[in-house]
Amino acid sequence: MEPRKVPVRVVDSDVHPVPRPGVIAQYVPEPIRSRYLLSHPRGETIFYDAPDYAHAKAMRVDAFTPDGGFPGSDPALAFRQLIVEAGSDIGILEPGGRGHHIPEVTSAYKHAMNVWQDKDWLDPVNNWHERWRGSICAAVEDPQGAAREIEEWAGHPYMAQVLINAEPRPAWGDPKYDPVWAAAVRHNLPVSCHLGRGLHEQLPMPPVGFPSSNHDFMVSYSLLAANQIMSMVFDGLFERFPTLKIVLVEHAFSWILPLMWRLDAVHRARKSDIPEIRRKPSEYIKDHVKFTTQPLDYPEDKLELTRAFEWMEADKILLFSSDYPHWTFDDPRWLVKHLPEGMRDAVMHLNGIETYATVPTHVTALDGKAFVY
Amino acid sequence: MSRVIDASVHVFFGGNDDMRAHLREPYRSRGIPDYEKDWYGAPGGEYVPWARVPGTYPGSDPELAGRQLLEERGVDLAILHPMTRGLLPDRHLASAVAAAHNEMLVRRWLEHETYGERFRGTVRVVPDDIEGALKELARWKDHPRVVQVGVPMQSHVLYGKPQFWPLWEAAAEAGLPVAVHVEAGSGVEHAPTPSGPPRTFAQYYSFMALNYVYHLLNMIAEGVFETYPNLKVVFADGGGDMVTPFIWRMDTFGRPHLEQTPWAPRMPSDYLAGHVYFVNGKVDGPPADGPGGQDMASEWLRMTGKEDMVMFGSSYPHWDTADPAELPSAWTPEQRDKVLSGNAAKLYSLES
Repeated sequence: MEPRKVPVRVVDSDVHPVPRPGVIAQYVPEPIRSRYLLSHPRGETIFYDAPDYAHAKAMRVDAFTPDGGFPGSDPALAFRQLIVEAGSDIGILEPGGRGHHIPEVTSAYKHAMNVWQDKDWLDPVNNWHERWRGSICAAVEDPQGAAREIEEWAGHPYMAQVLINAEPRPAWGDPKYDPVWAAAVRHNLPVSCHLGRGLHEQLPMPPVGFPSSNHDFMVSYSLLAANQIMSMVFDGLFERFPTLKIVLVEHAFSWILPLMWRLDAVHRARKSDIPEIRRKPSEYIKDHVKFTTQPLDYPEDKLELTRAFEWMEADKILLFSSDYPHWTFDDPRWLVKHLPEGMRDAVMHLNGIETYATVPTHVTALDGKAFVY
Repeated sequence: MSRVIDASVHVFFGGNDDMRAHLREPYRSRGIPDYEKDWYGAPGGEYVPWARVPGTYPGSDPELAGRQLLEERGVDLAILHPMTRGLLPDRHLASAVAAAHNEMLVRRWLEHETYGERFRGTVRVVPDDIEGALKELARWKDHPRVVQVGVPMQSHVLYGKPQFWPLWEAAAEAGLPVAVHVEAGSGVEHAPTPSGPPRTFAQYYSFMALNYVYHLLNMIAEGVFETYPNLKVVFADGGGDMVTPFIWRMDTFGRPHLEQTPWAPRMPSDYLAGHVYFVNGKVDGPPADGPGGQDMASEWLRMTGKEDMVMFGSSYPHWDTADPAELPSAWTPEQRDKVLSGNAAKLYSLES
């Protein structure tokens, strides 16, 4: 008998798998492996620490494996907690990680992450349920290397997108990155960007000084994404690549509402400087940029959040995400209740299915899986 | 018809000879950058054409500015803010330049025969030079028409950090709000965005004002407002709309972090009212044809208390000089009064 198929109701755009200690090195090509990865011991690298970091490591404490393994290191546990118990249907895997200050070294690390995803998460044993989709990790600061990496993995049945770090400078409207966007567009892959929290050029460099704590650091991190949007719009990226899709992951999103107003007003005032920018910034944003829902920030008065969703037309720009297994995990059953009813299908699954070509509309049913909405 | 207080009018020296005449040696003979931005000047010029006069600098003539603002544009009171010359690496020189601008502001504008009683002033101090800043503040704080202290938006260190606290304390004690404004000129600033130098003026201009978010979040997290309950800060380049999402995030994400910052124990949003103000500029507020339309402008202005934080400011004579006629038509008459004059009258204790 054919296994029973059910519609995909929740596409989770931000899930963090982590390699078990010692696994990655074998996939990093020589001589980079010996010269940079294994050349010296490294200790804890945290700064801007989340609450109770020494105990929780910025993770859901129930996501450590029974033998003490790091949250996100065991595909089977992640499957149970995120898919079966919380109810996400599809998880887009986004391996994190800082870049290296030498771009081609970062490229080599990203390559290793891709080999590892293919072998340890997207393989028939760990992806028997076909619920995981991977990300083609690429070093945007090494545009030629990133384009090569995209070419190598495009067409993989379980790769859903390209994943880059948000921090490398300059901003993305700079033409030096065009090979990356060209490769992504060629293969109909969205380009997602995630916080890398690295060092120097791998860290947002606030123009007026460094924040003091994880609190003001993480909240102000959104300004990095706001500036990337300004650059993409005003430098004409979407005019150069009319089919490019960008996903901003974990940068929060309610700021896009006043930012769209601001950019539309600036555009109106400065049109003559930038004649090639033919449309209103808010139109480019709605056609080309998606934001993930986690972290959901909300006011005391939830009606204000509802109004903000309506004004920004959240059903056009949001993708659900949980950020499993981080401490800031947003459960899909909790998140969906905050969305205006008429926007739920779009945000929870329709936009995801439309954004990621390899995300299916139906999946094989699972016994005992949580129902989200 | 509402009274109009223009909370941001920029004043300048007429030229470098004029400025040097207000400097003592050894500063008079030093090299000092001009007001113009080097990389990020507005294409077509920094100033509205109708404020440009041959032979002198826009915003340098109190007669002309008084006539244009107070008579032709219906402004009742103008809060003046001298622009200086970029972040200068030598703090002694920076303080000397600030002092020269203050001397000019007070003698030429605040004590002007015709218009002086309708001008109020911002005295400029250099946060990099705390000792000099305190002296400069002490020199002017009791002048009846000095209502504010001005510092640059540009900084190497966020304004929540403890080296600046003596200045905030002195301003609070003097009853003077601190205005943070993007400095004219170009000096040893960092790149204007977190991703480095922008390629277009549109991006520079869109982002530059938003740097206030870094200062504000840091001042909250470091407990500046908890420590100085009378301190008031004005972010004078606009962008007040962004405070709503950022303070939502500060509250939501911040709640679990409060254990790391016991010196700022309240919810971050509690520190806004009575402490934080914004000048409302030309590109602020929901545009009539923007996402959501403008019908919601009144509801939006109420959110997170912005209706008590936002003050109209023209930024005259800059290219983006704002006009009260451009304010959202959907605001209630009460909101319009608050923005046009009520909030500023209260903040600066201006007789109505």
